[in-house]
Amino acid sequence: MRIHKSKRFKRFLFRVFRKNETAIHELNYLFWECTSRCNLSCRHCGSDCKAEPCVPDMPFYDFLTAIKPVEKRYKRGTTLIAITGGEPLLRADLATCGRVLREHGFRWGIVTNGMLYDEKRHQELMAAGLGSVTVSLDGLENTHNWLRNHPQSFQRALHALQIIARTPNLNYDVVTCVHQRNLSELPQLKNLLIANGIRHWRLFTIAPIGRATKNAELQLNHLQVQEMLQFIADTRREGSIDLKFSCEAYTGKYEESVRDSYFFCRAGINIGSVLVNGDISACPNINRSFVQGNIYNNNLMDVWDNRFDIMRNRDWMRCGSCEKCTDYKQCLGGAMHLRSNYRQPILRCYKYV
Amino acid sequence: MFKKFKEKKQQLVRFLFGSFSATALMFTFQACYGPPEIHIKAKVQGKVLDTETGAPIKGLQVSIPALDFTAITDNEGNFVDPNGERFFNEWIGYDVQVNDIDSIENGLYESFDTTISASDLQNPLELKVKQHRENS
Repeated sequence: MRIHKSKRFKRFLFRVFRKNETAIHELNYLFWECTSRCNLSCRHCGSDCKAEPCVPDMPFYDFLTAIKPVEKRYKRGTTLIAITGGEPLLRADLATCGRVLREHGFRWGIVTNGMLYDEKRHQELMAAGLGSVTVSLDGLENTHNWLRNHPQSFQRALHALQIIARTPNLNYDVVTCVHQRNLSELPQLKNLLIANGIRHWRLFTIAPIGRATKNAELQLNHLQVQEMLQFIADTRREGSIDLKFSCEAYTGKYEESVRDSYFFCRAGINIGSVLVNGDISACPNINRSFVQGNIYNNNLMDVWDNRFDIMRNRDWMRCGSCEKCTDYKQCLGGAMHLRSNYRQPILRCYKYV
Repeated sequence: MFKKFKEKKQQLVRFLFGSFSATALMFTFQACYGPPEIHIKAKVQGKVLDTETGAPIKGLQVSIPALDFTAITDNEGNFVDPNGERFFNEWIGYDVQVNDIDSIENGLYESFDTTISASDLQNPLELKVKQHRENS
């Protein structure tokens, strides 16, 4: 594939920027997996959550104690705490946690399925300083309810989004996991979102991890991935809604047209996580073999400063189909969550779509 | 010593990339499936008025050093950021300085400093400055 000179130069600049970001590795984004309980049983769940989990919710005090060194190191507002699960709204103390995080100088946001998100909860969370929300909506009503395994999940998610979208100064987006059943619904879904005043939308594909490995219908083939990327590129050109492809994979010739920036897996570079059992890692969907420490045994900032080498130096990813790939310098072996273990080949690549 | 120099260089590269609008978007990232980054989008604009008379003042320099923003008020006392909307960090204050750079032309005014937050920029700013008096 020939790339125009100006694009090549931009890509070069981006690589300089990425190298510098990796060297600085400021912790800007910290996931807190506050619970592994969930009120849904989605067919594609990457974390394989259950209604009755084997790991109890992490006490907020434990998390707050763990992030004290982060508070000490960085200026107020440097780090965003992304509260995830399971379903974070199942925690009755969520607003209290948020309020305290805010008092300690952290911005915070949640990822939710919207089932428990109503006006009262919204007001409570906003008063506690909620700054950012992501809600999942995976297709039109029947398809969403099928994937989420619940007959009212679509209506509740849409209701949550209607409340969120009309709130000024609240950063939000809708995420849609694209699979074989909802690919053809994307144009209708786009119209539905626009009609409901929703302006920010992000598409994913479903990684072949967790529960998703058991259902072939959830994976797109190359032609379908191309169809999805083309839809994103066309919609972005048209400008009716702020649509982007998530930063889950390098997309070859689509790199300049499906996102605001180039593919950059920031796991372990700007993104860390504290998992429900106290493990310290990067994004929670990364294979648990990449865990770098545990807050009950280690100081979070010590781990952040002195470990995570495996994510900051990704030479080991140059194996399998990446070994001789000419795009390696641009993608550095793709996203961390697409590796099942150290020196294992990538689970899938969108370079050739 | 060398480590400090290296760190300064890295921060400088970061600043340079962040300063060019074409690459600033690189900073607006989010994790694969996490919630979006939190930013407040706003435009720097407003009016400078005389504290006593409430009349608009022409020819004063308004600057916000953290944004590398400088503008001169027009006949109606208005100023506006020609770069349009920018992203602001909601957690920090931004120093605003007003200086009379044309001396007695358009009246003589005292310098004025204030700190604003990103939420103050949701509406046009109204900055009030005092006339300079010899005895004051």
